[in-house]
Amino acid sequence: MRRLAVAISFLVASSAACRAQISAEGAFFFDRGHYWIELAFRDAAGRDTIPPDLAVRRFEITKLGELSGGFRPSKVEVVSREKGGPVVILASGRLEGRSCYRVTYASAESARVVVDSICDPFFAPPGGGDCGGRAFFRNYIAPAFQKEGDSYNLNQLKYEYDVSLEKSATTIALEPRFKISGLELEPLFEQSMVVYELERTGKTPSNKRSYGLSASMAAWVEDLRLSLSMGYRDDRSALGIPRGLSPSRGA
Amino acid sequence: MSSWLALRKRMRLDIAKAFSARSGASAQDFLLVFYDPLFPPLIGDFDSQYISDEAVLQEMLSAMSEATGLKLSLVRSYFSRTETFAQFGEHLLRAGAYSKEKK
Repeated sequence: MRRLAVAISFLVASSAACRAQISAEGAFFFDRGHYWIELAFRDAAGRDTIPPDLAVRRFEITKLGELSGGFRPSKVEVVSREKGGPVVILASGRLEGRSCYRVTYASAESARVVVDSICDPFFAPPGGGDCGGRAFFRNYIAPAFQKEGDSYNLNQLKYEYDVSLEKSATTIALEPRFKISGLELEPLFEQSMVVYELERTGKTPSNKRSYGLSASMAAWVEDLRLSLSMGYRDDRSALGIPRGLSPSRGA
Repeated sequence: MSSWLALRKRMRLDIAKAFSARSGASAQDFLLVFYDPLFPPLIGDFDSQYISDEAVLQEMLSAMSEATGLKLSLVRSYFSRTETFAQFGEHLLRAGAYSKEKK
């Protein structure tokens, strides 16, 4: 029994060793109104090669992230190139844009070859990968901390809280920075509330709301740097009624 | 028919050459950060970080036009801040980049 097991394992090992070791890389592309998959096979020495058995049944294409299983290409074609070695083109009406595929090639002569993540460059990960807060961060917060020329864009999203014996202050300010085809826009919104502790009247709230917009544009005209800036800011303050006074007395 | 793999590799190097030479970043760094990751940053990120003014962008796009044999206006029409450099390259390939050389 032991001899039989040794013999079987020897046969399996030798058959694997006899199989050609090949690797492949793939590209998903759109041409002549269709999507295609291109595979470039290489032998163990890294030379371009084409496996001898290119029957359709040897290939399986699986759309990544889909549970319905794989499918066979409708056509397999070897295409010679002017430069470099030949490549294998897989055609199927089931190939869709903005997708990623895995291609498996299996034949009796060669070891199984799996090419993962053959993606359309326009593929976006499920869930967007860049939605909601992440997209907001990427578009408006992260660029604020990037160096641009000699200056840094410093977007502001600040929150301050100050408590002292005489007053408590809360401020929230938002100053994002946008760049739209050479025009830089900086909207501003700031809201602050200060509550004064006055001995005579008690707590007296004060609200200040500011908003504005500044726009600037700069360009080089030969050796001359021309820039144009505009800005608008509006500050509004409102003093609340002290808690110690009733509305009728205050009026 | 040319190999799409070969065309993509060539486009990758041409984009790295055109956009890194005028931005101060090395071509290797450009590829590492802006081209090769599975989900690379958008062109807009590169724009706000490295393209100081319109003249620099014009030079970069002219270099791409020269490398691919496509008209500058066509190259510019595919340059979108909301896409990646790999997608920009793919647009150019689908528009027939390098096709004039084959004839």
